[in-house]
Amino acid sequence: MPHLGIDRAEGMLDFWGEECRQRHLVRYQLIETFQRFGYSLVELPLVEKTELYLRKSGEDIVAQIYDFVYHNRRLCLRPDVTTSVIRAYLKHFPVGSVQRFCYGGTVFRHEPTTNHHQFTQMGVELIGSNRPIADAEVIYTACAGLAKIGMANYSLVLGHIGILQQFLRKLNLSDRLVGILLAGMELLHQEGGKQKLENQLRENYLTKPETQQLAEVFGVMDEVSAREFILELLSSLRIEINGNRDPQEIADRLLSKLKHRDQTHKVLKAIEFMERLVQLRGQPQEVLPTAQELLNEYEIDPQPLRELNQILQILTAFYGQDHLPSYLSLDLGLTRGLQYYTGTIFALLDQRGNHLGGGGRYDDLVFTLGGNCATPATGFSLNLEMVCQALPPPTHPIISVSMTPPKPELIHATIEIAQQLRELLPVHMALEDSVPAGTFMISVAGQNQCHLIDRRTELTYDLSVPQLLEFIANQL
Amino acid sequence: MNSNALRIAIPSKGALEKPTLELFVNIGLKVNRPNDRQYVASIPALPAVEVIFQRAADIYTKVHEGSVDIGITGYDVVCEEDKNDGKVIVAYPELGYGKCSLVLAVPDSWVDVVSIEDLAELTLQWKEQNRILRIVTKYQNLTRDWLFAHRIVNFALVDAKGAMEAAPSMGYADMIADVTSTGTTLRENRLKPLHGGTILKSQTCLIANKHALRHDRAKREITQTILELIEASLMAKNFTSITANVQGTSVEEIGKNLTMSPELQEVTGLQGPTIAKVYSDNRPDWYAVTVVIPESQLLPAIQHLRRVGGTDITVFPPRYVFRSHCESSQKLLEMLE
Repeated sequence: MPHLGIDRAEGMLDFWGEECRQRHLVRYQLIETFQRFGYSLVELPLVEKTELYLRKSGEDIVAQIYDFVYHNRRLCLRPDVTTSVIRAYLKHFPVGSVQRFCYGGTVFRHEPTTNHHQFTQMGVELIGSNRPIADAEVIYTACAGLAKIGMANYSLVLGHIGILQQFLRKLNLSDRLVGILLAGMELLHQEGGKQKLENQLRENYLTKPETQQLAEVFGVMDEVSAREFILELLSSLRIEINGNRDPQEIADRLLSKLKHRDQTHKVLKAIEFMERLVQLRGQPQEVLPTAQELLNEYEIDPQPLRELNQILQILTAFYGQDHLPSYLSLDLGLTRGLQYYTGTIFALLDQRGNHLGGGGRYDDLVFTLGGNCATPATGFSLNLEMVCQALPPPTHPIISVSMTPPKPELIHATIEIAQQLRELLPVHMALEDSVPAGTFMISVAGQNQCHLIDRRTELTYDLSVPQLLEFIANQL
Repeated sequence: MNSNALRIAIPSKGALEKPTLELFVNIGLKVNRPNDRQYVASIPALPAVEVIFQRAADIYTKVHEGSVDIGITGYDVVCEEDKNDGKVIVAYPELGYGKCSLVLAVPDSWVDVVSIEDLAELTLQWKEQNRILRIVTKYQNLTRDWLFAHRIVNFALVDAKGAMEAAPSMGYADMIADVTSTGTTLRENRLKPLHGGTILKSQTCLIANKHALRHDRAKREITQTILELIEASLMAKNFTSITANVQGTSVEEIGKNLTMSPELQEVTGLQGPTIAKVYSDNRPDWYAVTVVIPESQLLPAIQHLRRVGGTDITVFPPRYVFRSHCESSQKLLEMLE
């Protein structure tokens, strides 16, 4: 049987060398930037109880969780950090208090369409404030982080999920349908997306229900007599109602289902509205007036637009200019998947349109996860892998020294010189014959005698120890 | 144990044993099992093969770990146990028996739940009440992935203990996900499959350990032989062979009459009719016409032969139909690359 090595688990990542060095540097610079805005660093577990994510996360995320049972406990690898931050906030801080946290950590999502199931999120959460200045600060912190690491040519897209949520709520659709429609927004951004969405909805939501006549009959009855009627009807047909469910619950659901009139009209109306929302993209001064007209036409509360406007005004102060940067645009059809967002949302994209990260307001999460009062919150996360991919490769290679393996009688002298050099730059002492490529290669020839090769120029020098230290110091 | 032998696992007990043994008889590779309690058997026609009887549910694991080289089991088992590491390949996906569907089924008494959309809405309603839908199943991976793909996430999977169909009435689960072929067991346990709730359609298939076949030429060649026989035998089931005596003046005349219009292609054989002279002292103008045609074309073909003067028509089932090359054997080589 041939020896077979063990490969890493599917979708997981190894990092080494230059890539790893760049990641480390970017992480450090991002955290340092976040801390400048008053966000305090937190480190939270990779493993959480699965229940934490089942409570509120959107269906998209739940479906991607690395979920497992360990000693009869249902646990998972965290699919995001925000939820863990809120869990920790509820445990360690007074609910409702304003807190700022930042973090950098690995998350795991089993996305069948990609080969990458491991990501690193670098982000912040600002909990306890619903003021537009909080949103603006979070958005600007993300941009300041990108600026710090030298990211150029990215774009910032702002939207507000509240507009669509408000419209769908007014239509009084089932939660299931609302979920499908929210997820469908992504489709509408694509060519032919409307057709795809309609096809998805056709069988269940765009056909006349078979129970149209029953709906009319039950429509004129009050709840109580309708339910009694159903229970009596089922019992007269000898249909036993049990199976771990309360007969009342079954009768009520059946009733609400039977009463459900043809939804085609509502669904088509929703798609029409969504399609118009998706068109509202571009520079704020152009989008906002058109958006105002659309909201007026559909009689939707313009509060989301007011919020966006206030945030944009505060952002100009952050940018220290009287206008907003050109890389900022609005997209009122932005949804960021089926997540827990409730208000302003934003996405950061690189030149090629790849997602670098994003975030937004999630005012319900604290309460859903067990907080005793409604606590607004906002935050963002950057995807470290995507960010590093979009960055140019580092232009300054590390200046370092490789030392050839010391002769036995010169071990002490070699170590002593290496220790002195380490005050100045990284030193790699080769232990075997193969000497790694440093900028300088040094062999110790005697107690106070070194031979140096500058690998960049291939020039050689014979130096005493003080001369060597001076030579190296001058190169840095 | 002969380490050079191709080890093939076939289902022991259960519904798949008998038809699998029949399949081997049909392809001329009868399995010789000394008695029912022995788990190792041989195929006299292929001395370099060792047959191991295993539970259908364990065969995937055995092939995956490499303790057997190829195996016959349900496609449902393969999909459920799939480790997604490319070690196991499906060499012949549809052996034509053991057909069943993995379905989601709820108690009959849930009169408000008929379709998968109803179920989705019920889970959302329960989520608001902090209740979770409990589904009992032996197919945890398939069920979970399918529900996730349909945006249903508020459920918990319960391990199957004993008779799963009884779980909802015993109260340790709300509904089930299980395989059914006729639906009788579901009905007897007052369960109904959900409209749009078929997770997988399955039948018996032949799987192989990729590493074993890639690195052992002898094992690969025996597997190709088995595939060749299976493919030709299953192909033969779709065809029938007809021979008729037809009176005429020449082979050309009869040939022309038989194939005079293109729509007759289906009833005049895979490549066209075979026409041969019948030896007869007193009647020199008789010819024997043989055609191999799709089973479904039997009666139209007979009508057609009668029209051109055919009589004494005999029909035989072919045992094998070999094409110019064996498709599954070729696919196997591609998968091993």
